[in-house]
Amino acid sequence: MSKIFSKISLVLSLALMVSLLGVASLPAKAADETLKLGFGGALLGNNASYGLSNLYGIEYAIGKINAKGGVLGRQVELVQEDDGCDPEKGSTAATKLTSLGLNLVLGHTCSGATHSALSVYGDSALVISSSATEVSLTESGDNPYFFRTTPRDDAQVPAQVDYIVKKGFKRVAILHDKGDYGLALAEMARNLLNGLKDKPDGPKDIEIVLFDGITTGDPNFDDTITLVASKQADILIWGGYYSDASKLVVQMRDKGVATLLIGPDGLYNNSFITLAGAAAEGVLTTGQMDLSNSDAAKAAIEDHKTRHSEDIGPYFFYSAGATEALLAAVEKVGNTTDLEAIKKHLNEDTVDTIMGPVRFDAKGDVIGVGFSIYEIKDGTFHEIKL
Amino acid sequence: MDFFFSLFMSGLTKGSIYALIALGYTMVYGIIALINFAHGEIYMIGAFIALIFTMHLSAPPVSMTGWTLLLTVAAIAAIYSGMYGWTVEKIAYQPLRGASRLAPLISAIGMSIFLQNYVQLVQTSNFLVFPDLIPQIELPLSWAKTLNRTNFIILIFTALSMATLTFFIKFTRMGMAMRAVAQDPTMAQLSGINLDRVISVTFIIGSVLAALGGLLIGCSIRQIDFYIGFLAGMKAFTAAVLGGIGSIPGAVIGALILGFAESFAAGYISSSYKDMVAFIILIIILTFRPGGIMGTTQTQKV
Amino acid sequence: MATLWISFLAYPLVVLRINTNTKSLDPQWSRLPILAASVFVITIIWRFLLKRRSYLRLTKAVNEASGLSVPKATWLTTVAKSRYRRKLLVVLLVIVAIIPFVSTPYTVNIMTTALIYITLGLGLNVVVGVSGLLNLGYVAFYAIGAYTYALLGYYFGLSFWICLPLGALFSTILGFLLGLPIIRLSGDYLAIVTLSFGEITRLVLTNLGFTRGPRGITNIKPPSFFGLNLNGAPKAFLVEHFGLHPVMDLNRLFIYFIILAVVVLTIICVYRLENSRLGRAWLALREDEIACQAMGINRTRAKLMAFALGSTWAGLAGVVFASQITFINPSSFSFMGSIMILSIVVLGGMDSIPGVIIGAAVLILLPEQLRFFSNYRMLIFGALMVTMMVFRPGGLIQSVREVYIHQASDSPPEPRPVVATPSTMDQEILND
Repeated sequence: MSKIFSKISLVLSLALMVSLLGVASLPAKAADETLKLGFGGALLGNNASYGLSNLYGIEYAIGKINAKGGVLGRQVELVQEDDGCDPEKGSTAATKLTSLGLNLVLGHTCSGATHSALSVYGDSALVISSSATEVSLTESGDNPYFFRTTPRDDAQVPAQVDYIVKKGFKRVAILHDKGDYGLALAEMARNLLNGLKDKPDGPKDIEIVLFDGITTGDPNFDDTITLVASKQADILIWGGYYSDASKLVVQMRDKGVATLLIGPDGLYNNSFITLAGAAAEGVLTTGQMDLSNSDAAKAAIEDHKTRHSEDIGPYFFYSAGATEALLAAVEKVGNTTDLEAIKKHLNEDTVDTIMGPVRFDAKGDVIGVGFSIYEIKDGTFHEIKL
Repeated sequence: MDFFFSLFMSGLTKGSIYALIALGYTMVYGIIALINFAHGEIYMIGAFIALIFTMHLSAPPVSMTGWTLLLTVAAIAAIYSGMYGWTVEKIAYQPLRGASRLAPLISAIGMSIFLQNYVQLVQTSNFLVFPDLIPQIELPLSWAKTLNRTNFIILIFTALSMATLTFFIKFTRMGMAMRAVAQDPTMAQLSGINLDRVISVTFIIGSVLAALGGLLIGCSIRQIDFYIGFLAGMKAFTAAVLGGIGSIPGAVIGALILGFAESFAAGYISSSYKDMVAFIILIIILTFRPGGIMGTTQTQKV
Repeated sequence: MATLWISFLAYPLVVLRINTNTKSLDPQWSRLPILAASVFVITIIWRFLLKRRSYLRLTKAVNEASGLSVPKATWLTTVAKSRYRRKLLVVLLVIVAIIPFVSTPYTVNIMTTALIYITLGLGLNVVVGVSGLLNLGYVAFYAIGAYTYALLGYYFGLSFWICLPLGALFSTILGFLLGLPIIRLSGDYLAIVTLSFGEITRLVLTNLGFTRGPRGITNIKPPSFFGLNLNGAPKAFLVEHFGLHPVMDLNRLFIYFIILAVVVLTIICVYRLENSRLGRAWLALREDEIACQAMGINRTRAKLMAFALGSTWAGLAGVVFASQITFINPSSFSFMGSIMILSIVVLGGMDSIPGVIIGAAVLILLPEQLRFFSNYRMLIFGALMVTMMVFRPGGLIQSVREVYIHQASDSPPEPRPVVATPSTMDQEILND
């Protein structure tokens, strides 16, 4: 009796293992009715608002293109995978997308996850990101099929340093969130500022009084603020995202520390103003150029409001533009698999998109889009010219 | 001197917040020897409920403001969190009484994941603005001006809580029952104490404190999101163990030490390394006093 | 009744949704009936299962106390300990080896991750399951392994095969060093120190310059096949001479088999360790430290060896992990990781090798299966953890000890697997 029983148990447990392995749940790779694009980005977790901003733009662009008949006679469909801005999840998401047969991907959201995902895609997928700004993604040459419609970090930090020099600030404090994005920005700022002394006509007396990191997610930055205040910094360069920055600036103003804050595109987000409230006044950020003034853009914003309660976020137009450029190239090439041909078109053609004319240089960076400096006044971002 | 004093104050504030949450951890541990990982999430839920009801009540037609608003919201948050704490205990911990030490721990972790995702899904993953509910009050002492009024209230509240709790434990019947259960649950039951009730009360008290802590921290930082529970919980748990888990004054002392360690490390060493310093201090203290600061040396009968 | 309570409880969070744009509340009344209905169904099922559980336990306790029956193991445990288990393992191994050839790269990737976590679980099992030392910072050893390979590859160009044993070695040393200050600690104090250790490791990796901090290390090389990159010459070779067109990246395939070999190695080593003198010392340490010392076992030595030998496997797993995802930074090694590994050990059944394997398989593969539920995935996961613990606190495969029961008859006593869950360990099972 027990012999039979254990035999049955054997079979049952085997079945359990096999079913867990999900061999049965492999998707069939039949000829698709729809043209599928992949999306990898932060949809869940703390950084979800960046990812969602990307997603909204893509969905909007796809909606418009589908309404006009789609691409190559097929409707466009988006397959989403969450990566939570985490490198490990980024690689899992990338693997999932490639195993589904997708070789055109819009993503990822954060630079670290993009790095990790690209190592999975290799040369089997063409990837366009609209928010990963870390320089080496395109500069290193390791990723020939990677493009981005957002300008890079080495465009925004010089703008910040420029501002500091022009306005005559002398004592500069630099803080970062110890993350891949924030630290890279902070170090770039430090190197540039130090390098000013070597320039023949540069100011010699700008001093970096503090270079330190905070722990992201910490509720209370009082001690760091005390440190900043004790160094009597004129201006604070922040490398990181908006949630820490908003806490930082709120607590600074609470303690009566009036040091000016200048931050990167991570702060160029209405959520920053909402969270920081009155303390956001006077904060400077470098952000992607404001593209919301064209009629097309305004129509897009109105359309978005009817469907979502969150606002479009900073990357909406950049991701929409990426989508439009990609699909235009695919239309020209005639299929979704000849990545080399698609790449050629992206490099050579200028596509008119909601973000303006889009073309990519040999490294994969978008041409003609840059950063502006914004100041927050009366609760909104105002572009300032130096 | 100013620098030192400023750091001292910020350490004190941090320590107070950790203390409010640590008290919950330490009480539950004292009674049923469980590290309640879900406690941090109760803190977070308390903050969320406070925010929701603030928005609800400050809008027309009710339009409350000032102290009324603050106290009403505090009461509601406290009640709800107490209920959440009670429910969590009934679902995840009560069925596991008597099982090994690790099973309730994993259950607590599962509950923590569940609650975090629950709030994230039904509300939003975004960061939320939290208004400062504490009305303007004049701070009497001059040194208190280094501290803004919200943090001042936090300090007062923590001190009051600790005093009330200690009084409760020492002088009331329920407090005595709690002490009895902490010492020996079986004997306590034999003496006629309703074990379930004592445990429930412990959870409720802990949750109420955590929720009020959540509300206060919301007022102070003016920002909350679904993840704050996890981070604060870890720090508070560290503080509770540092001070000797199971001991109420220990929790507060541990929390204050942790707060001071972090602040002074940030100010004098480097902000980047402050967490590391805090943990290293923890290890050093535990190496020399394995039971925590206020912990009793465990004598084991052979 | 419970439905009303939970609906009331959930009302503010579920219904009164905060709209971040307009900064006001958006009452979502439609959610309420859905919530009420599902809660109603769930509470009925839950209550039923709880009643059944307490009934079963009661009858079991009564029967055992009166000698009517012997504590029996469940079918899963029986299978795990059956005479067929060696054959079962071989069959399983064959299946696992075939999988990459019949499925997608995605499945291979997930299986690789699952196998890595099996290694981690087995290693932690040595510390927590067998020796009873609660280690909440295990992910630090995992990180050491990964960073060993990443850094040595980055700075010195050392290959995977050199770094594999080095990673294991460094983790072992670190495990030993961790053990030193905590010899005197027990129980939950141990837990917090190990947690701090895990966090300190992560913070050190973040802050120290030469570990490249949050920028991480990119382009970690996959393992080389006798000095060749599999995707280069060997792939061309296969295409030319055999006409094979491999669907997936050959490096990933190679990594899969490497980790499979590592898992087999780990299982063998851990099994032998458990059944050695040292393993018995660990069991004694877990049961009762003082008695253990009284019996002449060197407690300090046992503890240190537990930590050291438990960490080795994490180091191995870490090296493979680094080569798998080719980009690491400290955020991959957080406290949550330690918790996951601990959950695997507890869920699968402490002190049980097949238990840990199944636990890892379930905890890693299940969320992937649950992707269907996308957003609700982690929610269900958390709920499942709680449910698992409530209904099977001993884990999937409970620690089994063979017990000899004397029967007053002429036939020799037969060893039968008996469930010795930690909660029943107080009971005397030996009759007569």
